[in-house]
Amino acid sequence: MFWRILKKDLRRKKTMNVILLLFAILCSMLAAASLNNIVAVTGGIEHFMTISQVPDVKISMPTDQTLDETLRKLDSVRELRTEEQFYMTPDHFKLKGEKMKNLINGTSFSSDREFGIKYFDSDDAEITAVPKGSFYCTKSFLQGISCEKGDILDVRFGDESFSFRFAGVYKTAAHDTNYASSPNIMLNSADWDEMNGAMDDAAFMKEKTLYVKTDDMDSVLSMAGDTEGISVSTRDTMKGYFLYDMLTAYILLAVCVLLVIAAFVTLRFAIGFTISEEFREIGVMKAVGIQNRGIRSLYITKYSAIALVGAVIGYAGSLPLSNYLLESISRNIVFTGSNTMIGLVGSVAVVALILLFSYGCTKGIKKMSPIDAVRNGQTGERFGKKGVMRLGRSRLPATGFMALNDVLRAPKQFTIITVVFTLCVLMMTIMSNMACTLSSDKPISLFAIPVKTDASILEFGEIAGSGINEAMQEAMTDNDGWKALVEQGEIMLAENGMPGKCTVTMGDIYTTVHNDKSAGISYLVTRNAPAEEFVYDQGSAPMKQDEVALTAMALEELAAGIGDRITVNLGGTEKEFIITGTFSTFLNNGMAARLCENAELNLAKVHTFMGLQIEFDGDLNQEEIEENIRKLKEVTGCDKIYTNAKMVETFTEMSGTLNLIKKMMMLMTVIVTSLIVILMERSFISKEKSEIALMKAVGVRNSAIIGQHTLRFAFVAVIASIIASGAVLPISKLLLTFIFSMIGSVASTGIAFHAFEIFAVCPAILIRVAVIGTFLTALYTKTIRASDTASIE
Amino acid sequence: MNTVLQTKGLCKTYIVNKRQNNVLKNIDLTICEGEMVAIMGPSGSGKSTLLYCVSGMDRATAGEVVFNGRQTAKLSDKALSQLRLDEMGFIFQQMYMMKNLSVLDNIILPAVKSKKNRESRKQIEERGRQLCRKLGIEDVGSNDINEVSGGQLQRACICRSLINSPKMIFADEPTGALNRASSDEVMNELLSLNRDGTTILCVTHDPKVAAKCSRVLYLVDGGIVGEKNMGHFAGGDKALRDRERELNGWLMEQGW
Ligand SMILES: Nc1ncnc2c1ncn2[C@@H]1O[C@H](COP(=O)(O)OP(=O)(O)OP(=O)(O)O)[C@@H](O)[C@H]1O
Ligand SMILES: [Mg+2]
Repeated sequence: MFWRILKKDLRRKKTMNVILLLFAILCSMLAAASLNNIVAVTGGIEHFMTISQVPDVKISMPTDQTLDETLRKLDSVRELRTEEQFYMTPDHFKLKGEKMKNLINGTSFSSDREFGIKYFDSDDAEITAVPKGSFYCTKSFLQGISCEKGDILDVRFGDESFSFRFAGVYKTAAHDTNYASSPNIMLNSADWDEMNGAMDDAAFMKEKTLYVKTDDMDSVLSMAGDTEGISVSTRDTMKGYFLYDMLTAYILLAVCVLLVIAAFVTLRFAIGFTISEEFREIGVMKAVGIQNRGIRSLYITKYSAIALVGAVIGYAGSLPLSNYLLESISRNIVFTGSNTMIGLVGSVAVVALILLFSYGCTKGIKKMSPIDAVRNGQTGERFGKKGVMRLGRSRLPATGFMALNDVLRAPKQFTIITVVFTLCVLMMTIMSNMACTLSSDKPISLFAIPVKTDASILEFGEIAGSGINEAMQEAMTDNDGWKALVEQGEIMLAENGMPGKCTVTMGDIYTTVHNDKSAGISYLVTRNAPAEEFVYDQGSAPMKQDEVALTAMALEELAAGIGDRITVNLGGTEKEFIITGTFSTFLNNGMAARLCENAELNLAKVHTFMGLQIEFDGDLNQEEIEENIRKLKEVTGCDKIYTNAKMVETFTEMSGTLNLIKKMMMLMTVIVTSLIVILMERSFISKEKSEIALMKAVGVRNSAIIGQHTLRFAFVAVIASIIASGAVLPISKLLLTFIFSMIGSVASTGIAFHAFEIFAVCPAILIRVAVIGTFLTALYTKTIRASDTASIE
Repeated sequence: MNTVLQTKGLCKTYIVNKRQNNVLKNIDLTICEGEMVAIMGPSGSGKSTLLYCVSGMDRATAGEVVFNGRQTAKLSDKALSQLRLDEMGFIFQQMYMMKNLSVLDNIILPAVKSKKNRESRKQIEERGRQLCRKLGIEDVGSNDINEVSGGQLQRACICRSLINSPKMIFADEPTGALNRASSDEVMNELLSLNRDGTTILCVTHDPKVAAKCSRVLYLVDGGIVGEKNMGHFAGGDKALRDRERELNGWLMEQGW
């Protein structure tokens, strides 16, 4: 009996069951893919570094140094691996027969003889050897040129000529692979030896890189500090290479979270909808005397069957979706993309949720009398006024009235749809805001550059004149040297008819101690701009030589607070500082401090240098600034002169990726929204079949019925757009601050937005998708005949 | 007299589980303006189906239906809707209503949709109220449809069918859910409409109802097997009792 009812149910309510199944598939797919991504991204860099076996310290040094032998003798050194590189300038290369014009930096060549860490190819498979005659390269080598496996790279120097076939881009956790950094080419060791041997030693730089695993970092670091001409990276500095990749990843994560919420809200709608469909039958079953337990197990069996099938199919579908989502952010990083277990959790959660819902909804069965159930759960007691609108009093056209009335009569249902729609718009608009903010000047203060800056000159060319180049050198070696640089800069500006003020920002990492805690903190100084000009989240700016502002993260690491004293080891000499306030920054992963304008640094170790910042006199508009920058480029012969917005874009190297993701997200939102709209409208039609038939019997035209259905969703879409428009800015700010705080120490950030895009284009997309989706689905009502009125239970 | 409705060789076949069910078999029927025709017959004989087919709510499998000089099979959906809206009123055996509208709104919906009368919403509502008053349901006008009794709902359905003053009313057991007194009221209402010129085709199980009609058709297994012409009922208890007796006798012969 039980099975017969079930079988009949599955067959007779085919449409509703199929729709529920589709909803389950959709939700399971979105939930599994998103969860998978969330875990992959949050595991992020740490995971990548772990599987790559990144050591504690990476040391680059000239080949003739013998630090490696000294280090090997240390007890605390557990493992030491060595890679050798030689450098070439890009004018020796031809890729696919073409000179590589965009490649500026010297390129290093390494071999597969010994790998310092594990490297991965673009499919995330470990590279164990490079085939002879082939080469792998870092992303930065290609500079955006698209390359196929087998494409030829020609290297010529003197009379020698070599050519290698492209084997792919490789991912490395221990090297900076952003476009601005030095690229690397990985060769077979035989090829490498041959090239190395053929080379005139003098013409090219040769280097050794040591990968040191040690229990005693400090002794290794101090030993390295005593050696000439070397550069040292710790695990933390290496993590910094991926800051902006992670930024993109976290943005995607935020969108995935919204997607999961949307999926679950949709599911709630689907189940609430189908269960209320069942009330009548439940009442009939109760009336004939079937026990509550029986009825419940009947529905729970049915729903679990649907949920299970949906979850399995959805899970299978989530795998490609998840890869697709990760693809755009995994060019540099190996994520736990194939950690499928967690996706499974998402699918299982969908099943659990469906069961929970059906369990919860059927719980009410017990309390209801059969006739309550037949009346859709209404008890016949109503005191308030129900119909808010009356046809006779309304000025709306009948179709509009019916649509609006339907929405008001089923507030719960349409609220859920509104929530889903709102989330859909938010996914698009938030994405847009993030892309916009990360190519705007809003986050500039997070890079420690004064907000008033109009232009930054990152490096000077030959034509700039020896004066300014010398001053630049001096600024980096003498604590008062910046004065000359600023002076020279301002003279150059005045001479070229664009008077302005110059500032210089630099920073250095020092070991800092507070009580028993210590940390490596980057100390930032902006010369010629009072520290007051920067934004402080708490407290005040450091104004005296012994005052300092720290990031919240640094404070936490040191277990210190405003007013406490910290001891800083300025490379040999120790100095005490009083903490005056906190501020936000990305630099050094958020472990940073700001000193006053005239603070003394140990300039031998300067590792952050932001070039020369310019504030033009007077209130210039965007065009005038652009014009000045164009002139400056001519005068200095340097191309790297940026506005603040361009600076953010260049630093984060993200606007391209983000715009790509933005388009991808918009496309996905459109697809998901249309799926949701189609499924919802289809379930409305199947639920309202008898009413549609009745309307037809009374003589209402097809077009009016389709119009009514379309309008309902249009109303909701418009309301959702309004809500989303109100919520988008605060939510974006919140999310972006959260995301920024993942990669730096950021307590708040300004956001930029394209008003037209988020208040007009995105809502218009949603409304259009909703209207077109409903309209096309509602065309199905044409197949319902007037006489169907009678043939429905 | 003008013919309002005519069918020729009307057939309707349902297919359930690949089994054909010929519900209507070659029905020839002519109804003239001003007539009030009752269809009687055992349950399942196809009475409702016949009503759906002739009112253009369902398309016949074969044969033709001519309403007011127009072949319904040849009309577009749009024209057919227009026809139902303005020229036909339908009272269902089951009491179907839009559950999102109040009783009164349900009643006036066709009038709001129709472009036949250029009335304001207020006038329409007033007319709806008058109809409600006539049928004794003015108190429940603002109720939800699941907050009224079956009989009240039935009367509301009748109000709805009347709101556009149709040329012809199709009623599928309009008094099925009513007690004798209400049933009489409804029938008197239909009779007075009929007197004013509205043609009525009405399915009923109740000989008392059928006795008020001018003609009775008897349907068995999808075919009209008997027809009795009784002339217009002019009123009067005695006349009615006579008609009833006559009809009962005839029904007996048909195997009622
Ligand atoms: N939608 C349908 N699909 C298939 N068969 C149907 C459908 N509607 C009615 N039937 C069948 O057609 C036949 C006639 O049905 P109909 O509703 O016209 O009977 P009726 O004479 O109105 O009966 P009653 O007096 O009980 O209302 C019945 O045998 C019924 O099973
Ligand atoms: Mg019937």
